[in-house]
Amino acid sequence: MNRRASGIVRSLFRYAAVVFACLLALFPIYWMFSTSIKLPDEWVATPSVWFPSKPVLINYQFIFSGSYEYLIGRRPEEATQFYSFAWSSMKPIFDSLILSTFGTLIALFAGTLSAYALSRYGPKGAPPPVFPLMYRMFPPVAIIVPVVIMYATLKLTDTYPGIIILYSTLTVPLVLWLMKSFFDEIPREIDEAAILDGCSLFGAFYRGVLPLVKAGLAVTGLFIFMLDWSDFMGVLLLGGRNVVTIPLKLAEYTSGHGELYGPMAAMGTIAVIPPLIFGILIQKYLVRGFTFGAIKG
Amino acid sequence: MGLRIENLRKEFGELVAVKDLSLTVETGEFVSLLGPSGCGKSTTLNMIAGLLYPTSGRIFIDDVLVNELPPRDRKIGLVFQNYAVFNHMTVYDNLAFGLKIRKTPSNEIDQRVKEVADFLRITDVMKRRAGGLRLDQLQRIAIGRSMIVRPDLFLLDEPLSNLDAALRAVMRVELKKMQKELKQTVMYVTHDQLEAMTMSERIAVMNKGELQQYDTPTVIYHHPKNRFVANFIGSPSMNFIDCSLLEKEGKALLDAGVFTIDITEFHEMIKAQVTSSELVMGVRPEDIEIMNQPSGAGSVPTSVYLVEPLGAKSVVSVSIGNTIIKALTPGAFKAGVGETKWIRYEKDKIHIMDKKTGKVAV
Repeated sequence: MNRRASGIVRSLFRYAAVVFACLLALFPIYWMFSTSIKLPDEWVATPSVWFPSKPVLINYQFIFSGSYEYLIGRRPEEATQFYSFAWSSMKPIFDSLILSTFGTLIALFAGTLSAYALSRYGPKGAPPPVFPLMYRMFPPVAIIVPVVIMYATLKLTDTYPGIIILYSTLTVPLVLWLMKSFFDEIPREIDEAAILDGCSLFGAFYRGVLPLVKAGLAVTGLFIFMLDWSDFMGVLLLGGRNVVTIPLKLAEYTSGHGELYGPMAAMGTIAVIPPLIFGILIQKYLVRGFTFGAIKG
Repeated sequence: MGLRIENLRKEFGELVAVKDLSLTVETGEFVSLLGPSGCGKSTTLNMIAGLLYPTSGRIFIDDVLVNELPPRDRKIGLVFQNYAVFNHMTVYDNLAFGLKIRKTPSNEIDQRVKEVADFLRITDVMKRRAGGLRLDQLQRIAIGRSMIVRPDLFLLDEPLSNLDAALRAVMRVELKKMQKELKQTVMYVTHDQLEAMTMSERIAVMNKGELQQYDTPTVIYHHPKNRFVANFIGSPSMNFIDCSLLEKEGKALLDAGVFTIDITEFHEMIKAQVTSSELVMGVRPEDIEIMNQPSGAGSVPTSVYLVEPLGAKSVVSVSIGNTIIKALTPGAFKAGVGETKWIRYEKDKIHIMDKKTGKVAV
């Protein structure tokens, strides 16, 4: 009886710890979401408003349609200006999606092919080359300065291809490292069996090996997508007018146009959605991907 | 002619993996490449399959020089040690893979997959993914996938080594039966002498990249060419006793220190083939008789060192001086350690070899 009681206490304690960890991790997200449905005077009120007194969608309306009714009576003289500003809030979402998707796809394509080549035809048992990772060892600012100069010469500044090239070149080394470890775990006999069955070298890769590393590919894709999705520095220095992503827009809400914490939170909430959907889509691969290959601890 | 290899050589940098190997396999013959790991047998197989390019030498399959042909055009099937079954495909797709790549019409694929599945008795799992199947089923799929393209030459790379002992025995019989039924030319790589002995028509014993002996299992067992083959084939392995050649009063004696044997009748033959008087005598455990009393001139007193009962047989180790000799006796053998027993062997059952070169003289 005693033993059973202590067992219950122990598991209660364990659950409490888990709940506490979850609260700690989820609170910022809750705060962002609750702010996104708060009225302007509750955004940064003292004392803090833990629960919105009256949940509203005006912050979202502001982002999507430029509806500024809630601002009337508060700062009427700025209404028109807000309208035009808000109208452009759809663009960052679109831009972020385009840039991150293409950046991820290109990095996955190039990185996976080179990882396969290194795994199968590179020096046996050698670790992946350090060289491609070199420029991830410097602070990003050190890298971005020469890139800014190059881009100016190549007229790539503030263009979609420019940012996509930036994203994919910065993430290819990571794809290379991650995917190589996945490929290394697939026995060479799989390729050889496919070749004996009449596949070309590419066919052996595409039909024999690639389906076996789907999980790794999905996880790597998510990882790269989130890196691109949250990039701020790159687009701050190389974009800005023509190309505006969500992180850049988020910064703008509190710098250029006053302190619009509500729309900022609303935009932040929206920004969570695409990676979340991506994560849910590949959920069945996540655990496998994380416990297989290099990401395991 | 099923397969002909001429002076095949493979070097990996400094290392010579296969040294000027030449052998032929008749059509419909089952040949094993037998040797310890690292002896070059898998390298040889991979060169025949076209996965490795030989440094020099020529390979003919069905009298066609295939050195420059890609694997798919060599009309071979290869079964890997780890099967290399595509886990993400169903059993059906695994079997059909080679035919699909070769753009075979789908009704023909269907028919041939059914045939092969029937033959290998895997029809009940056709729709399942290969990932979750048992090892012996994977084994059958691997064989089926190679078989379905009707290869001229079937290459098997230690196909049974991942199975447990009982399954291995079953698959050994099935493989042999299958090969006979199809009159399939097979080259079988193994390090297990039991597999090689039971299944092959001829065995090629390899060591350190060199072909040691290529002959039928019986000849290899009874007339090994050198010490390596003598030692590698047979379980428990052959006893080797260092001895020297003495010539006394017109007789030739083999002096092992604690006993001598009169080998006058072999004297000329031995003398012609050895480099010095340092010799090694080899005798198989099953050719040694253990007795409680001395009988005949060849009896040697020994003391029992260890008895390992195997059920139907017992392995008895006895010591003569510092030399341990193993004998295989029928039935249960009862003796205490240290007891004195006498051993005897037929003179024509012993193998005499040169100590330095390992070459068997008699």
